[in-house]
Amino acid sequence: MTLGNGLRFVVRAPSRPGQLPLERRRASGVDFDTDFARRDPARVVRAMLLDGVVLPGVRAVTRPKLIGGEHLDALEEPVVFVANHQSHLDTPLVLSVLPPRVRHRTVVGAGADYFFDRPAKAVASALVLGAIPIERQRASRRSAELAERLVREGWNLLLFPEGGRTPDGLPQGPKAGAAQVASRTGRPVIPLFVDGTWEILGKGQRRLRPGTTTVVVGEPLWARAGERPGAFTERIAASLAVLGREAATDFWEARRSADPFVPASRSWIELWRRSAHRHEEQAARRWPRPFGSRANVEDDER
Amino acid sequence: MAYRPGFVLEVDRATPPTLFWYGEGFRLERLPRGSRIVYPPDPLPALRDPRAAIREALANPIDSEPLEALLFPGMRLTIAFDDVSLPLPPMAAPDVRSLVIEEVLELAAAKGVEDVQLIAALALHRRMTEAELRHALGRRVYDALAPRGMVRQHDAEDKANMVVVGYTDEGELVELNRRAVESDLLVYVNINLVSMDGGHKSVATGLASYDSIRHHHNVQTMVHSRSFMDRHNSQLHSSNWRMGRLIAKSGVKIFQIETTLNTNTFPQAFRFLNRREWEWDLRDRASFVATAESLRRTPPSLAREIFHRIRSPYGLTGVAAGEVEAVHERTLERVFRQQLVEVEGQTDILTLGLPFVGPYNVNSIMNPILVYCLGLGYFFNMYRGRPLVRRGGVLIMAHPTRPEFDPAFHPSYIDFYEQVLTETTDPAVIEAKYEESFARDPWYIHLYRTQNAYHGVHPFYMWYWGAHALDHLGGVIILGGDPKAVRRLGFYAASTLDDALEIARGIVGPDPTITHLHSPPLLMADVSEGLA
Repeated sequence: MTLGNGLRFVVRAPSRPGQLPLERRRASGVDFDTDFARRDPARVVRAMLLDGVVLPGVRAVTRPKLIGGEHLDALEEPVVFVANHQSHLDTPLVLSVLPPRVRHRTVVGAGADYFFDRPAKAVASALVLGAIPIERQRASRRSAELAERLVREGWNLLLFPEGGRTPDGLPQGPKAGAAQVASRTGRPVIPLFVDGTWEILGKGQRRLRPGTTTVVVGEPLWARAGERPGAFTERIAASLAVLGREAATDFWEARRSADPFVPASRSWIELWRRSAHRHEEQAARRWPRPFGSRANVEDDER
Repeated sequence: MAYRPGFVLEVDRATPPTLFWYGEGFRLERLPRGSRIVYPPDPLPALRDPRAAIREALANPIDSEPLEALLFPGMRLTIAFDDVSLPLPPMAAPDVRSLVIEEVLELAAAKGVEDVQLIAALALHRRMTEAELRHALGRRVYDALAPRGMVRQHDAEDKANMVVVGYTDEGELVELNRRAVESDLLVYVNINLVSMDGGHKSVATGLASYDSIRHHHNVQTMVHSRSFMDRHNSQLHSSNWRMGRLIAKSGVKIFQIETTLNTNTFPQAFRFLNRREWEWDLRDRASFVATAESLRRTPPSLAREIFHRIRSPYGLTGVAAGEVEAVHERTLERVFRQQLVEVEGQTDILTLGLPFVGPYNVNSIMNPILVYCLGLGYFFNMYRGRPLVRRGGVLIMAHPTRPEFDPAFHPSYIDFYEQVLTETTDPAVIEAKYEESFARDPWYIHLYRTQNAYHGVHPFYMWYWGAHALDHLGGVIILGGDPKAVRRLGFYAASTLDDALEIARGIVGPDPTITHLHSPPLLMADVSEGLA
């Protein structure tokens, strides 16, 4: 018996038999109620945690570069942010580049089976990131309704339509949920491409490896009249593809080439090509630096 | 500063005290007047654009088609690379292996080669840790390939993935990694720090099994490798060459890429290590005193931590690619140009200082067996022609030789030290009586395959590595060594150089010639017959 358990045993009176229902039931997963996290006290706590602790830490680890920030300045809220998903760092990284006004009115769609499987995890996800549970294994009316209700109430929504972090560094086929929420609420989709977090903390990686990242923000996309969510999703993916190319090259080059968002093949060659720009000579880290990592001056003198 | 060759200095009254490596520290010793000190050449100038040199070598290989022409869609490409034992200390990023492998993968990607596998050619060494692999391969290669399971480490005990290539004329079994043998092309990426590395040894040893390696890693071969740093007089290499030719004849297509480094071994903080003592300026003298004194007051484990964080600013001096033997001859020329120093005549007493790191204790502890191997295996064999010390002469080497072991990396060394060395130190007896039981021990094999342990037989190879020196020398003295551990190795311990020389005089006679092999950096003595 640990000390904590022992104390609890002494202090807490035993419950009388027959008082509790037979099955222990706790709302978790998609049924978890996150309303508390959008009330003012929780928002104040979240703002302090995010701005004081989480985001400075994430900025230090990812050193983000923002491209297309003008689209964020001209937002007509509420909006649905749609981003590609490479790492757990994507959510705080996207939040860190949003203007504070927008950031504090943004909720994040998070996998109900992963972030809301245990009560403590669910409370932490909802409180710190403003997460809401999204069912990703099958279409769920409950999570769709929750997302739509929140957008209608004026909350911005951040969704990762790939439905999970990429297992191999390459984008996966997007699902139509985000497009559906946007078209049913009549709000615009803001596509965001996050580049570089795979190298810092990709799926399966155990250690954080600080590096640099780029977040490219695209123009708002509106659902056309009568457009089906599938077709809208394709337009979103096409826009993400352009933003991805822009992260790798430049504005002009990105619009001239035609690499799709989801590559035709999942071979290593595709990742090798797409990740080349992330390994161009970077400025050496100032500290801590192992002995000898500075280029030897005498070498050049010879 | 212009390049200067190495030379032999005769100690006179004005010669300043000489720097000796002393494990994780240094000693300044005054050698008797008339002693000789062999100083290595200055580091050769590094190539200004290593990537361009690598691309050039891949496009214009020796006795082979360009690499690009050997690649085709749908092929199986295997890229094997040297493990963590090279270079020493580890190279400041980017490691030269990562540069070469990136260029090879660029070509493979352009040609649409989907089936690529990287293999760390570690033979019976320990598996590399993730951080070590990342460092050797570079972030780009590791991040792109490792999550897909395309970076593997050779497992000599994985019988299902080994394949018998055949037997040489001398009956030596050649058993290699199946993936490497069954590939359409095997590219080997090597770092040639000393002349022992590279050539056919890369594949024939690096990707082989215990049953194959034992044909050349044995006492008989090592005693007749004079020295194993001189490939043309080394039985170790003759055996590997026979195996290599068999591998080539059996149809395994190998594209060998060998790189050579200069001897720019230590970063600016340790600048004094790269200079000759009489050229130390105020800053060098101050940093020497500060470093040596603070290290003396530092607990050994912390000093070890500090030293193992050193990353060497090595410069690439050349890269050659193509057919194994032709490439290796080119490589040897470069290595010798950097390391060879002409020395006239042998000596009665050879002194040297042993550093904190050898090939087998990267990020780990230099245990007494590795001290023995580094001194009697590596440094003693850094000669061409004849040994620096005469037959029956004495070797004095400086090292604390603490009886400390790394239980994760060197589990079998502990048992070797406790069970075998307490019985005998004779390599032939050790080989006959104990090798088999250590080599086949399932627990050591398990640790080798699943953890980061050296194979159970590895401490035996360390002992055989010094067999030629043991056979040749009249005595070995470890200066500043832990007396109990030194006696376990079968040597004498001395606390001062004067004491050591006194003991040595008892063996070689009253008026001996003394030669000191100055390290760092590395050098290889080209010893002529001389007048003596």
